[in-house]
Amino acid sequence: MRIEDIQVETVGAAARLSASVTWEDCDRAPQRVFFETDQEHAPYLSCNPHAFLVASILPAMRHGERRVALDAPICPELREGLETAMLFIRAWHGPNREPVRIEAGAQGYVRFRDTTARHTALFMSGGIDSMASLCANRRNYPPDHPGSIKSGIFVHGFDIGAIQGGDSELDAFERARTLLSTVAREAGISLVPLYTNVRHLDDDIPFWMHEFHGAALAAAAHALAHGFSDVLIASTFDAPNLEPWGSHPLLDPFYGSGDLRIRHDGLRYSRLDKVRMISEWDIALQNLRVCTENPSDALNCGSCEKCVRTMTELLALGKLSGCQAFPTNDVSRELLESIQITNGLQDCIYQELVEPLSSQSRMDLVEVIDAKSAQYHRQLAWEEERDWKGAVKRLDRRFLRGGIYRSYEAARRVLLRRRSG
Amino acid sequence: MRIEDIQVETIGAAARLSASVTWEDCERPSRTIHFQVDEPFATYLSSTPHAFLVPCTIAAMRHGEERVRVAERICPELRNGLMTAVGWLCSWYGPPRKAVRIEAEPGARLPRQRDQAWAASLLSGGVDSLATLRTNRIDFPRDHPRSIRDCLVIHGFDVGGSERSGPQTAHFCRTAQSLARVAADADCRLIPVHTNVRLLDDDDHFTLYEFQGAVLSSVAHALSNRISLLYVASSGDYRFCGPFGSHPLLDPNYSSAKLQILHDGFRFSRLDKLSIVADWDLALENLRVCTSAPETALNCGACEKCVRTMLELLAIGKLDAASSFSSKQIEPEQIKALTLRADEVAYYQELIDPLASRGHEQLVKALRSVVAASLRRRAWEEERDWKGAVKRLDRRYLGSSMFKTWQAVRSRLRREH
Repeated sequence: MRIEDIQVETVGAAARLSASVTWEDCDRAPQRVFFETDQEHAPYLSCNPHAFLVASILPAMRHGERRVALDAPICPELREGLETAMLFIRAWHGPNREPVRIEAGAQGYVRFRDTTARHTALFMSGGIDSMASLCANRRNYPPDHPGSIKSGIFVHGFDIGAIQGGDSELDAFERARTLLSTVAREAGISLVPLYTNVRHLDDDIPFWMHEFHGAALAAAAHALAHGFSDVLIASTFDAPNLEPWGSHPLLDPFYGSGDLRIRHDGLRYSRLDKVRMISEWDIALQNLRVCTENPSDALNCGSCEKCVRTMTELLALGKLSGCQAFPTNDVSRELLESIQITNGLQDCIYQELVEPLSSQSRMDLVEVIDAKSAQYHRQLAWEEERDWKGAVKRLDRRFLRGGIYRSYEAARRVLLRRRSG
Repeated sequence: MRIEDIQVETIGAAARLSASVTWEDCERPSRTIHFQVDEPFATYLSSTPHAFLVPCTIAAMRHGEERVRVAERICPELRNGLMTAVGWLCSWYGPPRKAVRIEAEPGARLPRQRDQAWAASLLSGGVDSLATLRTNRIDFPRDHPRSIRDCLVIHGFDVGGSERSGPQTAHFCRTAQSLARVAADADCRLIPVHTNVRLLDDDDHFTLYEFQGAVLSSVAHALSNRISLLYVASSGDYRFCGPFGSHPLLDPNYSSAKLQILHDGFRFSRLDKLSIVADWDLALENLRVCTSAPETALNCGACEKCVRTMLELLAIGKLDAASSFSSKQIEPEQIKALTLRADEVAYYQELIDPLASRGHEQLVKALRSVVAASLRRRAWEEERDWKGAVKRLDRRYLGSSMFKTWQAVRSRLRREH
């Protein structure tokens, strides 16, 4: 993969940092990758090769590129960090991912900030994690502390307008931006809009979730590195439930450089801790945006799993009735039954709700959670071969060389042929 | 727990930062904890509460203290990090560990604006810290904020760190002398630091698995008038990141706005690191890995760490050049005598292929045997072998009656004998 022709230019009322990215070892189309912001924040952009290197390295690794080459000098801290991050990704997601060689111009210290003063920013989506990070920061840091958040970065092209060739969802983005601006104003921070197509380097959803999104966020931070010294990425997980994920405390800090620290924030709070913090800050509560469906006329659809989960959490805390960010102010048994628990994080989140819902006598919801959780654990036991079927499978593989399995497969094929014949 | 009376004072030709630490909820002795440097480094000491807050919080967590109280302002970044670190340790090791309340003066401790960053690394003379220093020299230009300028060697950690060991002053002096040459060769200043912070709880297991990152970070906080960034060299690598007292998920949490703690070298295996060190002649001559603090040498050549490092040097063809090991001979019996901890097995597994390719068949045979024994023991401990299957079956379906019967028979047999 080659990264070339890095430039900053004015495009209408916006400023754009862009570079061309060309794949060398796989059949994917070349792409002009860009990061764009409004004129107010244009000074934050610089011809920073780190933005493109961080953005490209994991897609390159996934698609078997042997190198990422660029003609600009890069920070040795970032090079070391990327080498480490690639090793973690390989350890988590399998040996078919080979670390990519980084070929850069001279390795040196190139500063993209002309001051040592710290300026901390936070990626904001309007969701629980980033709102809670902002909330905790406002509570714990005085404004004159260097760790006090001064800016929020709101990105178009990640959860909104992400899919190449799909709807750009600009309306949804601008609506969310307007509402987030009111939160930002009250928190005393500036909201920096950033538009990017970096996710189009590989917009596969599991790749995005499990490997790429931390790097993509860090790339966006590097694009704006003229303005910031520290950028926080709000944690999805809390420490006890942490598992391999695209944004992770063992990955995100490695995307930093000599003049930009990337920090994974909020690991010590459980999801319910975070919702509780937000529920005590009215403007954040009224402008929550957790929905993954990006509906055209509202912040949240009220029916996707993330909406239902958050509504149930607010209900458990007695705060849903006072929240106008969702179309309804109650969660029915039927609504909760419509969702599925599909991973360990969701299971922990819903389990955390059993006690507060019980204390509110919402046993109808507790029963659904118990049933969904039991279903998830049965599925997991089957996948991990921990149930009795798994014991038979392991026995079969170990002592019968898969004889039972082959017989079963053969019998199934015969039955299928008979049915279709 | 209370941290009080924080002060910097001059004691003869040395400067000392100290504070009194009093336990409130458990019967442990009050102590004056100190960090001491020689006079030329006196101005580096900062009268910061952070140097005490970091280790005290972890020790207090272990012993069930309700709070750590310090009558000074503290950095919110550090407070947040300590809560996260305690969360990790509680999550890894479970009760009786519990979250500790940190009580400090209202408001936040603000760092002074620095003109430039100042990076330091810990230097024990071992493989990890020498590899960190070497890679930093190779990879970072001198004007980079992460280019290492000072090396800290600590008296009161692995040397003279426990009441059982005593001060081991002679061994520390020898170590500091040898490391001064290494630091000078790397264009760094060596700063010896004397501390008794480990005496908050000098249990070796606790230090190894929970405390060491906090202890090491506290030394840098004590010197934070000078240092803005501390490298802590990693013991493990990315393939084996199980719970440990210095860990990439723990150490950065001991940072404040004034001082950043970095866990470094996680991308290298132990053999990678040794190869890096072995290409640096002066480092190889002064390599000190021994945990026995021998009277007259840097390494005893007999402890587990010495044997392992000698095997590693043999595996990369550098044992003959390693003058800090007086003996160049490793007997299979030395290997067979080892009892490996779970987190040490991987180091030995990594050696089998390179030693085999150099024709050390007897050593390889001994290695395979000791690794297999360790894996068997681990399978037994984790109940993954056939005995474990029986135990689980007994607990689940027979109410542990088999276990109770076995216990009864055993105690009867013992009585009869």
